[in-house]
Amino acid sequence: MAERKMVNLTIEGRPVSVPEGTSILEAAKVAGILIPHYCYHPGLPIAGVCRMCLVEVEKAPKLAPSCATTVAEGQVVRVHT
Amino acid sequence: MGYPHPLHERETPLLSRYFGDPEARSLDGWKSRGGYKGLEQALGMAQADITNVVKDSGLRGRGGAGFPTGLKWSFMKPGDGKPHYLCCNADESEPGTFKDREVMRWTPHALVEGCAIAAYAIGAETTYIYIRGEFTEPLLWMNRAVEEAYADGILGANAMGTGKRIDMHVHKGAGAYICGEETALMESLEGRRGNPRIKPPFPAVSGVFGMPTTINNVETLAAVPQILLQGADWYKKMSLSNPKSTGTKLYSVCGNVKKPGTYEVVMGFPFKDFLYDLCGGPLDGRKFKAVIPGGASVPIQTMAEAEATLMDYEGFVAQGTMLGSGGVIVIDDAQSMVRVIARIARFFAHESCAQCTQCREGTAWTTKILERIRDGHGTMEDLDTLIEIGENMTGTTICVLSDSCAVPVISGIKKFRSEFESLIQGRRVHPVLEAVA
Amino acid sequence: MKQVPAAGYPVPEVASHNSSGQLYVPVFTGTSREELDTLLGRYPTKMAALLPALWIVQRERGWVSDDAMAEVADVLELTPAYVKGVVTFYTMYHQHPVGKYFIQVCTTSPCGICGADDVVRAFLQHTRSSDLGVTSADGRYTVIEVECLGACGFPTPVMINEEFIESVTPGKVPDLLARLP
Repeated sequence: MAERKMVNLTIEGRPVSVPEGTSILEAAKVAGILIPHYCYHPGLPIAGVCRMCLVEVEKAPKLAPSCATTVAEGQVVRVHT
Repeated sequence: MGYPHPLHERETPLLSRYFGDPEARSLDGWKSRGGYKGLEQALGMAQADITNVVKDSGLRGRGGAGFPTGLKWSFMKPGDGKPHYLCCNADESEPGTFKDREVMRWTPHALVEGCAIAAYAIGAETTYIYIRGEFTEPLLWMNRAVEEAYADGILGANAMGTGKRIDMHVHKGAGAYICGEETALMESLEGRRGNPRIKPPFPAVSGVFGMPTTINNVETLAAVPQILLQGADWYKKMSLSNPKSTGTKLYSVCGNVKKPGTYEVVMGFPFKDFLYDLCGGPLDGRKFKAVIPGGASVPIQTMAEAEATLMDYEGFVAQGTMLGSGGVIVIDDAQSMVRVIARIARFFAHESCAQCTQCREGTAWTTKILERIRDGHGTMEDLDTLIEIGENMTGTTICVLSDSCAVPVISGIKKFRSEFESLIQGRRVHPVLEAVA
Repeated sequence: MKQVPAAGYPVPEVASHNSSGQLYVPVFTGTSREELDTLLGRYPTKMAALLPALWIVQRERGWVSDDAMAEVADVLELTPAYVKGVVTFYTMYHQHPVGKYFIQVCTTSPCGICGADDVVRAFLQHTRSSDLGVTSADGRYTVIEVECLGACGFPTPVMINEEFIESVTPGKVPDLLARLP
């Protein structure tokens, strides 16, 4: 079975490594950080409508909904801003 | 045409030449006016070549976003084995805008031809023209035009005898401004509630029915036949200002002007001349106070800014607003800006699809505060609250309806603060304002 | 059984289909069924024919009842709850019976600054309707305000059922109403 590529990023200063295709919100959970969310549930399709999970991604022009945004190599994410 | 007024000598009637001419609406009438020669030429060209001509011409989306059309078409990858779709966005609901309506009810075959060329260029065998449910006359004429085109063999399984399939269907909307947003339009077409989708994925990858889709505005598509016939250079040359805005734009002028209607001028036309000369200037005894040049979603301009503007995408941005849809709403000194902005906020509150918290709550809250100020019960803190709400509504939602509500409020408070403060402080206002408000 | 009111205006007191015990007559028979079949050929999914199907219902019956929603759901292989969800989103589908002439007056800002509120008042007065959204006592008229109708250069545009009328002023209202059959 082919291994999924791992992606490294930094969330609130903590480095974390997750399989590619993971959402930032799930990656934050792995890193031990809780991003507030309301309409997200792992068992349901991604809605992305409550907008509570918006995070700052360095160099991105707008806030990103972390439940609906996949991780990218070298991303620097700030949650508590 | 300065339709319904006679053509003004400084207009450039590319799309509007036959507005008001009932003969142009039939297939025969259109053909005698040079119609369908563009499609004939296109069907003999390679698909990529058509896209390149449109790219080269500098045509940009005329629905409000101004995205380069040729570039949008080039996102549709040929040979991916999936059915491609073209959607024509005829859900014109932006307050102040009524240009697509004129194109559809006076020159419906121009739109049919433009859609057919675009559909062929992007490899779409099926086109859906999504027309808002309130547009009784455009629906009638577009349905008739599509029927006539099918009967004549222009559309169908063997378009103009070339063996290529071009199918076109008119789809009637049911009353929702938000369905003018491209992803909401696709949702509505699929038979769902018109809730915008998160992008990515973009329509060119996964659009209507999950298939690659291109969505273009009516005015954009109606301009395509002539661009193909006369060439990209001809279109590019039509610009009085900067090379990034080419061709002409149909402006729908409404509000407190002497001659409201649809005007077509080249990019870069001076806005001052447009308002005072072409549109006849203010009504007798009144003066212009403010202008919203691109439909209710763009920042409000003071007359000082408006009179310094050159009418193109960059020109409007340079003077504190945006071109948007080209729906010019002119407000004179007899109107209360607070009243106008409160009504615009109410419009957005009604039309919000209510998915995103900022928009759902923000539009309603903004409307409540503005109506309270309008009725004389406002406070100075309200103005700060309005700006804070507006800032939270900008750039944080799935679609830009939220931003569109924040924009007139923030620009209105910034540029017409004295009117808000007058109402809050209960000062006696200008006699003319008081008489009309 | 009380119907859920559509956005913005109060529901008139009308006996609903279910409580009066009448049998529901299906819409999609004969020519209407043929029309629907033609429509279904245009889209790759049945769901996409939902809005057009609802328009057929409204044309035939004047409004979209819960029973009609159930029929549409049955024909298009959807659930009645789903169909109701879609109907309640769009403003043009009536979810309860309205007057013989459904009058919609645009009052959004471009028309608002050109006297649309006076046109609304004129309609309410001449149709003898007690309020917006309330059908007149003789059952002929229901007047409501709507958002931008897309004819801002011809203030004030008004829709009476499917007819779109431009440039309505308070003075023209009595004649407009008088010529309705």
